[in-house]
Amino acid sequence: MINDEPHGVLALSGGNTPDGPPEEYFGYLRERRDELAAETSPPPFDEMLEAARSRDGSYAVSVGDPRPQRGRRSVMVVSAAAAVLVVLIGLAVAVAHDGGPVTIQVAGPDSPASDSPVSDSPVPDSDAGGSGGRSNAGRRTAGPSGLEHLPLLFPPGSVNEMQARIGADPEVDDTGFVVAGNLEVFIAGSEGEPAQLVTVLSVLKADTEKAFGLMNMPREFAETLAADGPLDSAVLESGLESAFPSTALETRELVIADLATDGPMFGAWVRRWVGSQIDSRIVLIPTRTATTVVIASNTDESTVDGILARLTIEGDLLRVGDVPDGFDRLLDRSDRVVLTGDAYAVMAPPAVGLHDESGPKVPTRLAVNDGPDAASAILLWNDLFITQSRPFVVREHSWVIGTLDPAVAMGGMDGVWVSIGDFTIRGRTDLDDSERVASSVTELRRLWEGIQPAEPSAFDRAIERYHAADGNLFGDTPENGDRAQGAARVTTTTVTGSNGD
Amino acid sequence: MPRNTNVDDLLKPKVVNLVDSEARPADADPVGASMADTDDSIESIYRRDYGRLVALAILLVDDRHVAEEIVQDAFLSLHRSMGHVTNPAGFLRRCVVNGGRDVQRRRSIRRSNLLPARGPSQFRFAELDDVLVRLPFRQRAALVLRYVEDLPEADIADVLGVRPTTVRTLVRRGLAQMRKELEK
Repeated sequence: MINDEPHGVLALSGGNTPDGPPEEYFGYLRERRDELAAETSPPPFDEMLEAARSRDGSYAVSVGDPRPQRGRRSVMVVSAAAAVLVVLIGLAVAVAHDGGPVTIQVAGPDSPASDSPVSDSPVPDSDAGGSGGRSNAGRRTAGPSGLEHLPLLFPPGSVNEMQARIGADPEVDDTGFVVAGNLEVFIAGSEGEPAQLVTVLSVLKADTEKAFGLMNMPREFAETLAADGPLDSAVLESGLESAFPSTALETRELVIADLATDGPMFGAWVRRWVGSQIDSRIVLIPTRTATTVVIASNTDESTVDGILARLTIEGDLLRVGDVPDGFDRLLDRSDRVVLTGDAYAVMAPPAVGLHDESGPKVPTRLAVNDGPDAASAILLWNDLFITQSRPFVVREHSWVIGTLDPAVAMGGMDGVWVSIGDFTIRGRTDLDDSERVASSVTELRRLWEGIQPAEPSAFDRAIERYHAADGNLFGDTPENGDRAQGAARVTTTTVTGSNGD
Repeated sequence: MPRNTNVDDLLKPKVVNLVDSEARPADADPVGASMADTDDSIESIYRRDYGRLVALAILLVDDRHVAEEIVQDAFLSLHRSMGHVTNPAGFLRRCVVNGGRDVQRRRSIRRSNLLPARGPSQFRFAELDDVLVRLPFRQRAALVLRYVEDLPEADIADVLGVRPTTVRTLVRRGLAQMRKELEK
């Protein structure tokens, strides 16, 4: 048995126990470690540093570079669209430019970059200062661009201000609005500090049982989750483990929170709480309110660190210090990597085998027909099952940043889902009940062109108001937050179809 | 229930998470002990602990070349962050584990036999090496950090960025998986 002694090196009961390998094995490993250490001599320090700098640096990304603290006057939570779009735009620009850091902002209709918030061509435009190949001498930094000086969707503010701005979940009480699930990404941080990223997935409680049922979650557990009253963490954990016996929970921290008492402010409350836990890297937070189950996760920590270490909040801008590892590779991979459309954009990293034996298997195809629960199922499935291959998805206004590893990206909106597997894009639409396959940006765009615009979501409406207000939708005063109530919901995926893979 | 909802937490800079708050007892952590001398320069730390960190990385990724790159990148990170890091040992260890995890994500498991079977139970140890390498990364890391590096759960939790209870879970599952494989 494993004991709880802090130094349970031999904390296995003797010999070959049912609980583990023979204890001698770890003694053997320790001896082997010592031998390996003894036979390893370090190269000269300076040469080592130079060699490390000249490499890609991907291993070092995970710890990031601590940035100087220039104040903590504000905590900022930025909507998924604004924040991630900022990142992606910045990255696209960054790849195209050499030189010093560039400040980037969200593109909007009136902005200089509004015609092409994300370049259709992932290959840097030489006219825009693209520099071609990447130097081995170090990471490239972004240069000036036409995307500068565009404001973030949500200007910085205090926690209270941000709470007021974000407000409650407007759709929860909107009976005419079907919410299948929300997957949201926020960037939070303080002035002058590296940003933090939070992903929140929420599912209406009314759909929970169905959604979990689609994932073969035991009925009684789904009922427990959907029921009123405090959540029993033991029940929840065992239920999740039962439903996802593979690696889903092995790589996650499970934390239970019951936010029912926070009532209509739960959305902001959850985000605030998640933000407070980021340093602990809690990655799975099933929780519940009277109306909603929320599962919040941050994305892969090393990837997030790698990205966020390069983002610094400066006033109402995000500064991209240099190109996050991974993204330059992403953007270097021509049309198989950055896929954009007028209303949608999908990103996928360089190919990683879907059936990599080291990771969970990921289907290459998803097709969704009727039912918001199908969307919920996919979003949840997406989040829970793909532990090492986190998808990007996406719609212009609902970017999701995942790890840079996945070979799958999928997203959905208004009856259409798209997945990417091995860089083949399969889209199915209920407009004509046909499945289309695309393998390039051009084909994907062609696919999207057949999609009718969606009923504006709350986020869409917020964007419209934002532009109508010349980028000053919420102003800088807390009292203006009241106007934001109900308008700042970020990502709403409405699907009218049924699961049918 | 939420453990903490203090506004101050929201304001907490990210770097806090990269820095161990307390040094471990020297006898509990050879690497940490060797780095306990605050007068150490990064170069002296490097000369003294490079080999041991490479060995740790090899146990995690089973590839000497990659392991050395991981460790060198860890030292580069430390070099860049030296003014902010109060516990170089913890910082380096976390870099190595994170680096190993990144490597794991980018490749399939391939055995390079850096952990050859030795001793009286050669056959079984070779089998166990294979099993260990095939474990999910965090299980493998938890086992190595606990049973090879002899770290307490709290430190493992810090390195892996999880709670101590999760460390126990990872260790339990790792051990169980190794047992299961052995019984096949």
